Amino acid sequence: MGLRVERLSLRYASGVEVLQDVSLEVARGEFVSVVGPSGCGKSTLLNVVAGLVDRRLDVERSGRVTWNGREIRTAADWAGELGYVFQRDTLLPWFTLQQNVELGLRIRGVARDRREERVRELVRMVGLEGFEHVFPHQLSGGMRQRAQLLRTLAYEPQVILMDEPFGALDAHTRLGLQREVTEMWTQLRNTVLFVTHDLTEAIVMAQRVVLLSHRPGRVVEVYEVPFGYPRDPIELQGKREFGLLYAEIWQGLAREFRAQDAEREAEGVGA
Amino acid sequence: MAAVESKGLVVGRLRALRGVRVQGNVGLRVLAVVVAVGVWEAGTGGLGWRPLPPALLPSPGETWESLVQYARSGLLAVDVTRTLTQAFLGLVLGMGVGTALGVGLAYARRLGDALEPLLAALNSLPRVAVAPLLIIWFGLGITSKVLLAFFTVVFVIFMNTYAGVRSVDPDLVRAVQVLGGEGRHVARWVVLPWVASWVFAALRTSISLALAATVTGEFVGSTHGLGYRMVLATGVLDTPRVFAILLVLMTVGYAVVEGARRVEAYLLRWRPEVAM
Repeated sequence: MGLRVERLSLRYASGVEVLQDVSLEVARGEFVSVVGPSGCGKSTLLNVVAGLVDRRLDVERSGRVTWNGREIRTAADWAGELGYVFQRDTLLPWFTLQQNVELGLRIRGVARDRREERVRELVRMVGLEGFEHVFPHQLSGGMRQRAQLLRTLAYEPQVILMDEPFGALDAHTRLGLQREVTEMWTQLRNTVLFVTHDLTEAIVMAQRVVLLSHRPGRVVEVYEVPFGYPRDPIELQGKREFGLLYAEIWQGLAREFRAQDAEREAEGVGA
Repeated sequence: MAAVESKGLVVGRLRALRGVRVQGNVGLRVLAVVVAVGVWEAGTGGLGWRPLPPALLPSPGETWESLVQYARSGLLAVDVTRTLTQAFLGLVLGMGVGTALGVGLAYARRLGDALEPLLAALNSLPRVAVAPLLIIWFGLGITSKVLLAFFTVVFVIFMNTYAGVRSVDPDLVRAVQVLGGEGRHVARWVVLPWVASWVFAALRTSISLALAATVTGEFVGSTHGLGYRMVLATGVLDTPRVFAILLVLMTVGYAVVEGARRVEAYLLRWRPEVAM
């Protein structure tokens, strides 16, 4: 049970291979993060899991994705149980924060007063009260990212995918959000697949860290994070175990960087 | 607490911006108009020096007098109504057909690709050139002018709608899809508002175009309307009347475009920069 990716390979019609034989299991209620060199197919992996690449004609894929045994091919196969937080701001610019956060609830036919109540509760949770009727362009980057998070949490999806959700934020806002998300997850315990290029972030938030190789992405190694919850992402970074695990994963990641560089160099000579 | 304070700041700043736009410039704007009319008056006898006769360049006073006469005769109201009705009907027809065609062809990609060059070619045809033909086909009445206005605006609106639908941000579509949204949610929440901003941009230029097309149609052949009255006045060298009609056209055109701009600014208030 849970989320399973079985022997997933994906290649573009142009011949570029993005993912190669990726197998991955995320148990129900588990928080797993994925790291790897840039361009290794992390985001593509999430898009396949979300069911967003199936209909594209320029990709060739094999393998399967299942959630509790049910195969996922398109976004509709999730039957509303999926949440996806993108790195890019995808709030609808013509809707206010309130209208954006309640979109998932409207799709699910939740009555207006229930929606408003839910939004009030969520907005309070992340300190956005007073901004309900403000348009996205009037919010700061950190506030927009919080709003995106709320939009996903609002309808309580069982599975949440996050694609470098804090990638575009300044260091301070980033730390705050890492802590907030970790706290929320500690209470909600949804199944989370979290993609990041920041090794520290991957360790301090998740229960397991999956290391992907350089392109085409393969699973190189899966690391267990030896900390329980509740946890404080900032405090963890001072611990000895954190340092050891960081060094271990970093060595794996560095090997991939070196391999990638060597390949690029060889290609450069060839051309 | 901090959050509430900064909201107050945001709103305050917005209000301040609007205030500057509405009040700050009014005095200067009025002054500009006064100066323009003053220069006109000075060059047409206001300083006791008149290089050009009234038949070539009438003074503001003569123009105003002619305008008052025109209004008293009752013909001004008739002509303005006729010209505006024609332009309006042409615009509405053009909006309807243009947006329908734009949305339809953007979704029917094959057909859209096939028709795109043909429509682009028609779009580059100087539209007023078909005015004589339309008069032959549909006579001197309202129909020929409505069709000319329609023909002038329909491609502009079509092109913008088509480009709008095709440029919808795929990330926003995906965002609604992963929330569990179906086709109708995507259409209502993403495509419609997105395309609306494109259609509004086309609408603003189309208003002036429709008005210009109507007047041109009236030049070529008609029995009423501001354009028709202008041809009559030109025929007898009644230049003050020509100037009076130009003033009316300018005022009417400005009022309509300004009205549309305000509606647009309100409907598209979610945009970071309020389009001017």
